[in-house]
Amino acid sequence: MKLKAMYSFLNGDLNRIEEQLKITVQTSDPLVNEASLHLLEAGGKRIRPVFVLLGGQFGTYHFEKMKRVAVALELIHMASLVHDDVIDGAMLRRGKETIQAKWGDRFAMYVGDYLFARALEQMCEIDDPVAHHILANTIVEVCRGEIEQISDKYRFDQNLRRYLQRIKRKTALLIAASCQLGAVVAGAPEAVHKKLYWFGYYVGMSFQITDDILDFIGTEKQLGKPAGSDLSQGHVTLPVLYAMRERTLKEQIMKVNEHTTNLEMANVIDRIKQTNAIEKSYELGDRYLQKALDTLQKLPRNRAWTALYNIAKYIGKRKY
Amino acid sequence: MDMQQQIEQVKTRIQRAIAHSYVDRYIQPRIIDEDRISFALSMLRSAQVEENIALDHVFAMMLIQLALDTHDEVDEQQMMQQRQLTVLAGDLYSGLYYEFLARRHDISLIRRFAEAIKEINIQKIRLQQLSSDDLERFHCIAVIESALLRQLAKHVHAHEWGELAYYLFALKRVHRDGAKSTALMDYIDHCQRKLQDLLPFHVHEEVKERFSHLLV
Repeated sequence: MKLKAMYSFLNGDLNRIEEQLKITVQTSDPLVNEASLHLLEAGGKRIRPVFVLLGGQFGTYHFEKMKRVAVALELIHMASLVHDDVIDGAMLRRGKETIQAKWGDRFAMYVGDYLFARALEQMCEIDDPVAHHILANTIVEVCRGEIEQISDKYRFDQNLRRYLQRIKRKTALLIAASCQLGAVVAGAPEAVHKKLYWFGYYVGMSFQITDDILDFIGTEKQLGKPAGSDLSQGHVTLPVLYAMRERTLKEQIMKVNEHTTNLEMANVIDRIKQTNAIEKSYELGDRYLQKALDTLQKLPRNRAWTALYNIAKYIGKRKY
Repeated sequence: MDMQQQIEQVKTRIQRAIAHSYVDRYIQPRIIDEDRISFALSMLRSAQVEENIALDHVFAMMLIQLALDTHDEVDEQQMMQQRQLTVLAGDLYSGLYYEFLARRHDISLIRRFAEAIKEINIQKIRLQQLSSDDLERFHCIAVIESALLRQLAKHVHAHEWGELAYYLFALKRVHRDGAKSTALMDYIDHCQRKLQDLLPFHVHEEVKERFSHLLV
């Protein structure tokens, strides 16, 4: 089953959210409009809005409220992508020129900040302190996670706990917040929205672990970048941590730095793939996925429940 | 607490809030603009806002100012790691402002400041598109420099202070930039005349003294 088919009952609302995104980013300056629409038209799965809407089905679903939260989360995500492209010096995203490649770093900074402000304006239509507290906390933690990611580059002495903390902040928290916020704004009981948080958290962890595995086993065509790019850039991910349990390989990995050649890197990647690191990483990803499904069992069954179940399964099986 | 003590308190709170052992190794120490703090505190005092609340408002506003100033420093010429951390430090300070006001359940002030951030960034983009002799530049600069203070003024119903901020901080910026042109001199003259009209109202002596060099 394709991902979109799992929540087809939300299609009407998702289309209205897409429209609202376009309306929200509009302003009097044509260049700001062009840049914002450039981003929106680049697409994306809009998975955060999907999680918000599904979370909302566990309470009193009021579309106007859901819409505000979904748009806010997607705009925050977009703003972070614009700034991430400045951080990475990325030229392309989803096959389209990035904002910084097209208009420069400074311009990209302003567009990102503009989108962030628009997101907060949308969120301010929600008069619920708990919702704001969750979102604000998530934003701060995500930023701290990104800083950690830079400080941990080429640090091969880090442990599994540090890696898990980093991917929690980098990926899992925003998915957890998306699931939880929908339910909070829909007035779902605390016991329910907290379970949705944990569901999103476990799914997010599993998703990022899979992403880190695919970076090694995916093809350049599937990934849109050469295999092993994470390690080339100094990111110590789960397969690397497991592979380093083999002493001789550990020594070789620890020599990786900014100047490592492509040939040397290809050799390191091949050696990592020959260990059981990928298999062990899948095992941990599956454990998180199982925790997500276990958490789901404690939630009331409805069509959103089925969609969340299918999405979790899909994420566990995805190949790129 | 007198004004100087209040300024110091806000600065100390900000320094504590933004301290980050790793980031601080790579980016220059942040400059916290005392003029803004002093102006905002005077405005809030004149609007009879309770001291603790005033200090919180100014703390949040200055976090945003730092976030925006930090992003202004992002530059293709920076070393990779320094550029990366400049981006993220600015993002973190923005997040901290939101987190702080969310904790205080002050949604209306979050909205006010979000409106200011939006305006400021639109004008920064606009400014990049204008030629150096375009008179619209001055409006852009005035908005960039004063939007946060003007939104705070609206929030506490101190509208005259918003207008004052518009001219005062525009003047401060053009003085700082130091460019000389006929259009600029005319603009400075225009701001000074506006300020002569606006300043007689209940502005505290501290503010008058702090900005007196701009009015000559």
